[in-house]
Amino acid sequence: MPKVKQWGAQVIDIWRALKDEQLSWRINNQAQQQQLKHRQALAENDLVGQLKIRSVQLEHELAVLKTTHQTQLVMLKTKCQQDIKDYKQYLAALDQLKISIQNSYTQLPEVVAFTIHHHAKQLLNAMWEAKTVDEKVQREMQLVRLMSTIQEDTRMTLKSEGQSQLPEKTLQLLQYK
Amino acid sequence: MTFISSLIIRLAFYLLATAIVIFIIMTGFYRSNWLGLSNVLLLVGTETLLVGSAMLLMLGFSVLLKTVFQQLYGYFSSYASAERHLCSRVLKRENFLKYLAGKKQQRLYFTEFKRKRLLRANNLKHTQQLSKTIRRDLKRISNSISKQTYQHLQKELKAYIRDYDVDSLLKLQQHIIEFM
Repeated sequence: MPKVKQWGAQVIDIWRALKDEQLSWRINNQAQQQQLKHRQALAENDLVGQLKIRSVQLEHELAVLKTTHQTQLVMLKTKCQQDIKDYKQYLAALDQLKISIQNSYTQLPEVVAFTIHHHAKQLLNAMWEAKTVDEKVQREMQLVRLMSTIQEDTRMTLKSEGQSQLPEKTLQLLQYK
Repeated sequence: MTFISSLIIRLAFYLLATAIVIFIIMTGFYRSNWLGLSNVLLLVGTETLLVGSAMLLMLGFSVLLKTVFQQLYGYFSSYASAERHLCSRVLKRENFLKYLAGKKQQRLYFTEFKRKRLLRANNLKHTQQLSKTIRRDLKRISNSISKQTYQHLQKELKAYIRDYDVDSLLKLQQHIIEFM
């Protein structure tokens, strides 16, 4: 039993020595530890501040994005509606051209009027489905040229009081397309 | 804390090793038929093993608790909440951009769909007009061509009308005009 007591006392001594050592280490390094803690807290606060600023910036960016994109969406909607309206008008104009060809050239086989109309519609679709602006402009020019040639031909026929049997300029344009 | 943990672990492993040594000695005594001593050693060895295991378990539990508390503290700290807030803003922005892109694509798709519908309606109107003319011309030449050719032309006409194939209808019309 005394030996056990002795061991117990030794263990307690070791424990106390350890605690003393720890305490003295703490006392020696207290200032440094506090400084470190203070620096850590400052750094964390700084980081939190930066994060908060970035959050506010993002929120502001989002608000700006919402406003600009809502406007863009409204503009896109208007443009799409206008596109559909334009396309409808183009189709109606081409139908009208076909009718005017048929009325101006009564002897003209119907297939020719259909072919001219079909060609014009193909140009219109090519213009609408063009991938680049250059191509779109080129197709548009071709279509406008075709429409103006048809107009010219029908006007010339009216002037010559139906002497001309064929819309020659239009057919020439179709041949050299 | 780390120092104490390592001390406890070391002590626990010493206890476990001691228990093993005690058990080996106990087996020797048991084989030598010193049952009284082997029983005492068995008790001492068991206690030592239990104390060692209990120390390890308690240390593990305390480390677990400490980790849980640290994690909880970290989760509710101002830095973590600011980071979460920032992440939510970033996600919100990304989601909004995706929503916008989708909305634009949807608008363009519906516009294209409407245009195609207009084109289809126009094509149908002209196909009907053209097919009417072709039927009339076909009837006109029915006497001057063989019955087989007439039937073949009629079959082609029906197929082209079904497919709204204006190009082929125009070619067919030209073909019929050649017979006239």
